[in-house]
Order: sequence, then structure tokens, then C-alpha cells
Amino acid sequence: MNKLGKISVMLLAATTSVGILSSCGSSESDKKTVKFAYQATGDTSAISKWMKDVKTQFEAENKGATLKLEPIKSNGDDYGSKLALMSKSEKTAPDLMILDTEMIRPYVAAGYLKPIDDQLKGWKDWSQYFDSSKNAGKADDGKIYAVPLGTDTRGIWYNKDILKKAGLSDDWQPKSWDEVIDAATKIKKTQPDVIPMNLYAGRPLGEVSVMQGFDMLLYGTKGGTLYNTKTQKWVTGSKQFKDSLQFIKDIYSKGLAPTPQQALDPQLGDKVGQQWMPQSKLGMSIEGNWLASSWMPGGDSEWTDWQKHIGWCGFPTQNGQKPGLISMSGGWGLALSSHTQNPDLAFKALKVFQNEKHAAAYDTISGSIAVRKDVEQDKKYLGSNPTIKFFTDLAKYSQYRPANSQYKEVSDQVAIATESVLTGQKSVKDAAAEYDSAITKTVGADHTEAAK
Amino acid sequence: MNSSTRKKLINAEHYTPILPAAAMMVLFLLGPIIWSLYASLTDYSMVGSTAVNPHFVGLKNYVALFTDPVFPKSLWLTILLILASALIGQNILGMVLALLSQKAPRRLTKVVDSIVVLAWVIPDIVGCYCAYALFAGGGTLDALGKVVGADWSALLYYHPMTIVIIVNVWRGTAFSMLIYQAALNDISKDVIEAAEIDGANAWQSFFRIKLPIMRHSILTNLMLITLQTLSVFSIIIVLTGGGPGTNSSTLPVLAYLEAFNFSKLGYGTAISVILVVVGALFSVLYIKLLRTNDED
Repeated sequence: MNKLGKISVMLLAATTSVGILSSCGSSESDKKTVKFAYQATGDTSAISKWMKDVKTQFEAENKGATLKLEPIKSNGDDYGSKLALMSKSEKTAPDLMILDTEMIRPYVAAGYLKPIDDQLKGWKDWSQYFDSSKNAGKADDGKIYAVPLGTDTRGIWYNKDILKKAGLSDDWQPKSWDEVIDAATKIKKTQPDVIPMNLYAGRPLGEVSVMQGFDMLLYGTKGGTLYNTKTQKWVTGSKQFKDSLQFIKDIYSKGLAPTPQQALDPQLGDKVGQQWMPQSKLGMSIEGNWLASSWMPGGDSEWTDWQKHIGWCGFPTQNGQKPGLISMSGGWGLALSSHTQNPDLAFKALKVFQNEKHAAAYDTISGSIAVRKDVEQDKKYLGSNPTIKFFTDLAKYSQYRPANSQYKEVSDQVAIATESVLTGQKSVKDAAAEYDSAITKTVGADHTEAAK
Repeated sequence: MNSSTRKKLINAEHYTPILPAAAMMVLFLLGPIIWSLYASLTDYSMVGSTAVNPHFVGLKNYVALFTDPVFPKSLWLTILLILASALIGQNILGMVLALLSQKAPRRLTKVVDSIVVLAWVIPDIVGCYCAYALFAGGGTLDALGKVVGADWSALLYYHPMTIVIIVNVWRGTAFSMLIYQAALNDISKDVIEAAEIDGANAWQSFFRIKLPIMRHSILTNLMLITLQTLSVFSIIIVLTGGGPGTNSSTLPVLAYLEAFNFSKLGYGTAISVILVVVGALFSVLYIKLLRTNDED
């Protein structure tokens, strides 16, 4: 044995003995425990019941094994930070975790996740997943690192009563941005007390306003994108970017949207869903598929006859060009930590989380869009909400945000650009130029390219 | 035994007892500081490939920081918070309360003391949420505003720093008050009486007699509350999250946002190194002031 080998054996012996001392011999039981990290937000009673069901079934099927639930109490951004910090060290890393599928690439680059291609081969349910959702868990190396739990889509939710008074049909479907603005203008003319439309913008709501607002516009322009996936560079100076800002400028400066003060209220999301829509104060809003879940029995603001008053449709592309509609999608997935001591047991737990029954239950409870064929046909899932079929079908128009570790900072710059045009502080040209120079600085000039 | 070996022995005897404490300091204080200095020279991140293979980037983080328009703003907000809430707010209010409590009836003093100290002893996060419930939209002030016909629904949006300053004064005044009460009680009554007999009025007795006697307590207090305020974090995170925009992002908040929200640990650490420098500058300033007073 050479010197280096001896030293490493000694080190290994030393570290193991320290490990044994510090954990008081719990390493044996660690092998039979699957630590599962997930985000616990405010109201999680339905989700925690779902987890308990999974835990019971997993422990019944695997004698002596334990599924240890480790809720991380935090909001969206903090969950990502905490999970990344936990994943850094072997001692704190969970075996199995729920993570935003947008984070898979950055996590894989950091070496936090374990590829699961081999285990997926032996899992019959994997064939149930749609190809597009299978790709959601794929990283740049072509390996699969996560199984998606569900996805989401976005469209327009509108108040039928208000649209009728404005002379529009109650199964309205705009075919271009102009038709959206036209409808909002009609609402303003006929009902001056009503806020014609809402499209999230600005910094207080963070990623929500970028993904649900600006991205819905940009990815609905012809060839519009933040990031060129082929060259792996961020795009600057594009006409599509300016067009999208112009749309925001138009609706906010012409009084077709909330006032800047209303628009920049961090509670705007709740206000739209729980006050403005039910109280007929808002004509339409660009929202996610889950909007109605708070009106359902047991929701935060129950509303029994909401279906009489509320309609929903897709958001159109800029000039109605193909494919006609646009939706942004994201979602959550289950992944194995690269530090897990027992990948087989962790994958067994994953299979219980994602058997047909539990997969359908998750999508129903969380208001997610199904990512597998069997769940899409599930009666309970389909019956959970009358909007679900429509929003599930929207998935075919879906675009995804750049899954890159720099995205968050770029997204913050987008939010700043939208805020400065919605408040009227900057012209579209200046805001776009400022965005270009800001992202060139944060991601580096070698990671950007000028639009053609 | 010659004198130099004896000296060495005495030195060894002197220093041995503090060795364990010194070792702990090196391990738990100096260690992290040195690590931070090193990390601030790398592109270490929380996710992405630089999380496993950080590169040494020299002073790149500092150059980026000094050319970022957010940095001077953040530095100014940090200094504003120290000046307005610590030096002016906590310090002066604490002194006034301490002086008043000497004159006021004992029962009243006890009641006022308890109220002021309560703000100081409640756990940090509880205090911050109390303040949030008062100032946030839909909170107590918002409701009161509706009664009097004022729109106070977006105070945290339009006046984030003012509110952070008010809350920090509320949280920290008790500390200054207690220090000054103790210092005032230490002043011998004879001195004050002598001044009164010589015809000094209340103002003169305060500025000419009490203040000079208390100067050591004042400077110690200033140093402590400055360092305390420099690291104020939970108040801002809970009330405004550093926003709107970066309008209440002081250096600690900016460091947190960059390191954990945007995953740039190296860059965030560089900000925290600057924070250490700011703290050190204030400390040196106070120590200098303290020293010149000693030589009087």
C-alpha cells in the first residue's frame, strides 16, 4: 500500500470513528431510513395526509424501513436555498426530495442528484408518463434525475358578467394581443368602475409576475425567448422583448390595468382571487390553472356559484400566429440525492409516492396538471374541478423557462424592467437597454448574444 | 535562573489559563472570518458547477460590488439606519427616559421601564411580527387609517426605511435606557448638590456635570448599539424583505439575498467582508474617542 493509500485509510478510520461516536451507532438504522425533504407552506393538511398515506404503505411494504418526513417550513425562494444547503453535505442531505424541476440542471451541475435511469428501466409505471414530462427530469448529460409530480399551465380567467356588459360573448377566446386590448378597452368604456384586466408585472411578486406576466407575452411572440438553448446564451436587444414591454406599458398607461400602487402590492395575487374576481371588480386576469381551487368547498374563499360568473380561455400569441395559444409551465419533481446511502430503498419510496393512486391524489390536492396517462383519465382527478380538462389540454402549448442557475438573476432583471415601464418611470427603449446591460453584467458578456 | 527565563516562565503562567479560550476564539471566530476572506475571492455558489469546483477569481467580486449601483445605496441605507435609529433614536430617547425616570414618581418609573424593556426582552422574531402586524396592509394602522380617512395600506411600500428605523428604535431603546440609568445612579449626589448650590440650572447641571461624568458609559453604549444595529437583519427581512426593489436592502440583507436567493455565495461573502470593515471603522472611531477622553 502506498503512502497516500495509508493516509486515506487512516483518515477514513478516523472519520468513521468520529461518525460512530457522534451518531451513537445510529448508522445501522440510517440504512433503513429514507429521509424525505419537502416544502411545508401554510395550509398543508391535505398534503400531509397524502404523505402519511405514502409513509404507511411504504413502511408496510418494506419491513423495518422508515420513511422520515422532513418538512422544510419556508416560502418558495427560501425552500430552494435551504434544500441546496442541505444537499451540500452528506450529513444533512435528504435521501429523497421534492424540487422545482427548473432547478434540476443547476443541482446536477453541483453534483447534488443521482441519475435514476437504471432504476426507471425496472419500473413499469414509467411508461405512463408523457414524453414531454419525462424530459422535465432530464439534464444536459441526457440522464434522468427526477420523476415529475405534476405540472401547471396558464391562461386567462375572466368575469362573464363584465364581458357580457361590454358586448363580448361569454365563451370568449381572443386570437391576438390586439383582441385582448380591444376587449379591455370595451370594458373600460362600458364599466368605468371595473379594472379591465390584470397582467402581473413588477418586482414585489417576484417570479410570479415574470412567469405569469412577462414570459406569457415574450414566449408568445414569434421566436421570442430569454435564452437561446442552442448556443446556451442569454438574448439581448430583441424586438420581441421590447414588444412585450410595450404591451405592459400600453395596458398600464391607458388605464386598462390596476393602478401602479395596486399592481405593486405584494398581496395582489390574493386580492385578485379572493376579492376582485368574486366581487366583480376585475374583468380578466392572466392566472395559473389553480386559481379556482380557493373557491372550491374547503378553499380559502369558498364561492359556490363561481362557475356561473367565471370563464376561462387560453392566452393568444402576439398576432395569432401558430400555434395560436401560449402557456408557461413549471412543476415539481421527486429526485434522489447523490449522497443517499441506500438508493434502492429511496427509489422504492419514490415508487410508492408515484404509484397511480398517490400520483392522482397529489395532482388533485395540489391543483396540478397530470403528467401521466393514467392520472389524466382518473375520474377523481377530472372531477375535482371543471376547469381541469381545459388546463390539462393547454399543456400542449406550454413553454418552459430556461433551466439554468443564472435564470433567477435574469428573472429579477426582467421584473425590474416591467416595473419601470408599468410605473411610467422609463420608456420601453430605456428599460430594455437597461435590462441588456444589467444581464450582461450579471451573467458575463460571454454568456449573452445580441438578437438577430 | 536569569531574568529573561524567569520572564518567560511568568509569561507562560500568565498565558496558559487563557489558552483554551483563545483556541475557541481562533476556531469559532477567526476561522470563519479567514474562510470568509478566502471565499470572497472565489466564485463559490450554492448550485451549478461552481458549487463543487469554485475558482479563485481574485478581486472580481469586489470590483463587481463597487461598480454595482446598488452597493452605494445599500451602504448609505446601512449608515442611515445606524445614524437615525441607533445614534439619534435609541441613544437620545434612552437618555431622556433615564433622566425622566430620576425625577418621576417611582411607580410611574416602574411602569414605563417595564413597557420599554418589554420591547427589548421579547424574542426577536416575535417583536418583528408584532411590528409587521402593526404596519402591514390589513394591519392595525391600516384599520385605524380607515377610521380617520387616511390610506395607510401601503406604508411598508412607500416608507420602508422610516418604518425599519422606528421599529429598531422601539426594539433597542431599552438597552440605552438601562445603561444610562445605571450611569446616572453612579453619579455622586454631592457633585450635583454642589453644582446646584453654585447656581447651576438643570441644563447646566446636565451638560456640564452629568454628561462629562457619564462619557465612558455613553461611548460604550454607542459602540454596542452601533454594532447591534449594523447587524439588524430580522426586522428588515420580516417587514420588507429588503424591498420594494432594494429600497431597504442594508448590507446584511443584500449579502443574504445575493448569497442565498441568487446563490452567489462568493459575492455575498464579499459583501459581508465589507460589513466587517464598516463595523471595524466605527469601532476604531469610538475607541479613539474613548482614548482622548482618558488623557484629559
